[in-house]
Amino acid sequence: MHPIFDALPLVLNLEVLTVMLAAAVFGLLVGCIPGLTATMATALLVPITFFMDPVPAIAAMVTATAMAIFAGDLPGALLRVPGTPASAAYAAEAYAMTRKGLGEQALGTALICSAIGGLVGTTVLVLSAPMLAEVALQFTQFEYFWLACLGLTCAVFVSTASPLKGAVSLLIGLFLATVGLDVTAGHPRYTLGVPDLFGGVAFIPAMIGMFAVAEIMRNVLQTQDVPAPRLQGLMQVFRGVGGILRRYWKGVVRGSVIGTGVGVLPGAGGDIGAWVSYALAKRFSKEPRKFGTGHVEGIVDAGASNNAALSGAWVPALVFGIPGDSITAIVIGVLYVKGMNPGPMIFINSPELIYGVFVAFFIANLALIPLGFLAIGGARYILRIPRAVIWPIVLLLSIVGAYAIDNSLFGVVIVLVMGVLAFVMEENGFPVAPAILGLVLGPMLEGNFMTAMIKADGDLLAFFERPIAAVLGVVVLLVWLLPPLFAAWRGIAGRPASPPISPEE
Amino acid sequence: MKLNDAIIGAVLVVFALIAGLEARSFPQVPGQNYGAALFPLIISVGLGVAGLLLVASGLRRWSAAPPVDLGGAPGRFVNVGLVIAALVFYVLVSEPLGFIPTAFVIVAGLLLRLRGRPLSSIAIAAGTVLAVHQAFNEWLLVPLPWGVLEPLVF
Repeated sequence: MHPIFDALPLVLNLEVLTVMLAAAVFGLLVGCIPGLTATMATALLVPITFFMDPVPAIAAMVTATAMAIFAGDLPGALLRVPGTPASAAYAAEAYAMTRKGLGEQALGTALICSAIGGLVGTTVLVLSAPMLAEVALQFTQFEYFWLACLGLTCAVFVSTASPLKGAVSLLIGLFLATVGLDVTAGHPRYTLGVPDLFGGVAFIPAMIGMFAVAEIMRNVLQTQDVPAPRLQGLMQVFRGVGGILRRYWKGVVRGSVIGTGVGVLPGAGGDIGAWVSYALAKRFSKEPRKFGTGHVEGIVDAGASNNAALSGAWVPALVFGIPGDSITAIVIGVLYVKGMNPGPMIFINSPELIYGVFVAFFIANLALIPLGFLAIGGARYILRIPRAVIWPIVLLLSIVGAYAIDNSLFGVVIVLVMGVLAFVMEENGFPVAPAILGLVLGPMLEGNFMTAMIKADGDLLAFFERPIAAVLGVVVLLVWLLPPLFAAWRGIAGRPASPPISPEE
Repeated sequence: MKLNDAIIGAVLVVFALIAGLEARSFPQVPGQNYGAALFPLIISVGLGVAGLLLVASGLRRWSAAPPVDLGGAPGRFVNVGLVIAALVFYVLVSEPLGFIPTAFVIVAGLLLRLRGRPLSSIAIAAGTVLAVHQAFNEWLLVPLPWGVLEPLVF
């Protein structure tokens, strides 16, 4: 019998469905409030889901993030303030539609496209992950080492305009990952003599610090309250959406596919997916001049894309243990803490768990339509909550959440340190996502390298002896070496008198 | 808080030197080429090189913008300080004082600072703290410290 039949009762029961409904409401609230992101929703959910079984815990995160990514469109359309970074690409466009009196239509389109994008991404996940897992079963430490390298490199290049700053962020994450007892000799590294650090930097408090507390700091520094929005009637929401979908069906497909692909890339999530899709929609549009004036076409592409990216990110996360975005990075961290190492073995040992996640994905994306519809109606009330009330409450939840993981005040210390670190980094243009990937993948990188070297008796060439490892290794080396070689070649051939190329460019 | 890249780069270089020197003291496992020091050393070198590049690019535009920019009005920067102070305060006093009073001071204090309106702020703080206490202490069984309220618990 197919494992999906074992998985259905794991999800379709009152407990899990109640958890998912609560998570959905939470996700819609978080997404709707500017400054609170889907990643933050995940980080704040972790301390609560920590006490649950794996399936409801993961289902809660899947649901909350799918809802939050759509709900980010609400303040985008109503106030021109994206609720989460994933809506930033088309907030201005949606707001222009609202000013033309088409706000309901913009949101209705975004809602349906979000659901379709999410379902397409989920379908890709369901079809590809088990097949990839078959392949991954053959992988040894050599292949995993290269995969981790590839994931980390990708995170540096996709997450920021400045690869140098992305690299610094990555190195900070990798450094933090070395804290604790080392894998070979059990020697304490950078623990400052604090026993709480022997097990490494506690992951969940670190995430809460970097995504919740840093965000609070940024918001109390900068944001202003925004006026409450106006919408005409809830009944207008789906009017004309059918026609839009028929007219721009290519955009729905394109956005879903691009979003899924971007989601699979480590370090790039819904926000980058939406930007890429919006740009492509404009590029391939018959009427690119209408973009920016309240034209729905870009919303179709990008609205589908950011939700598709959410599902796509789970492909490398579940198959290889390499997160596709910061949300799955948190999930992987949680799975490790729970003693369930993500990777192909999960597909063999507990396939019902994997299929439970798949079922939860489908339910969450289908439930998005009715719940999102209600959220559009409720948005004007949610957005009336003064933002100043929110930050102290989120701060308290961060403190308690960090404390709850192992009932230790040291978690709160980590929240503080990582919060300040992430705040300073983001303020200065250092993206946080590579640091998260470094923190998650650092132990995998080092552990696989050390085991491989013990197996190969210290012979570095062993990293190129197995065929897949050799291919992966050559790809990694090309990605590392080509950009500087290319830059040098341009420097010699093109502009001999030009100043040295700034690492910023 | 925007700092010139050169300042951040210099901090990274110093940090990389300390981390690298510390890594050299990590013991080798006999008979193995690679040990506990390898990855920390590579990371330290990487951070050091990146730091130097940042110093170079930062110095080139040193005069273009003020080297330190708080990124907001000084009054608002105090808000950031208060968030940090709240976390430090919690770490220091939550065990002797107890969760409920400590959390109340933090939430009420920040609400008063961010929005004023004493009556409603105190009411919101009290409601939030009691709800969080109920959720974590009673439902999730996290032993939040009672502190001075200990005698009231039976």
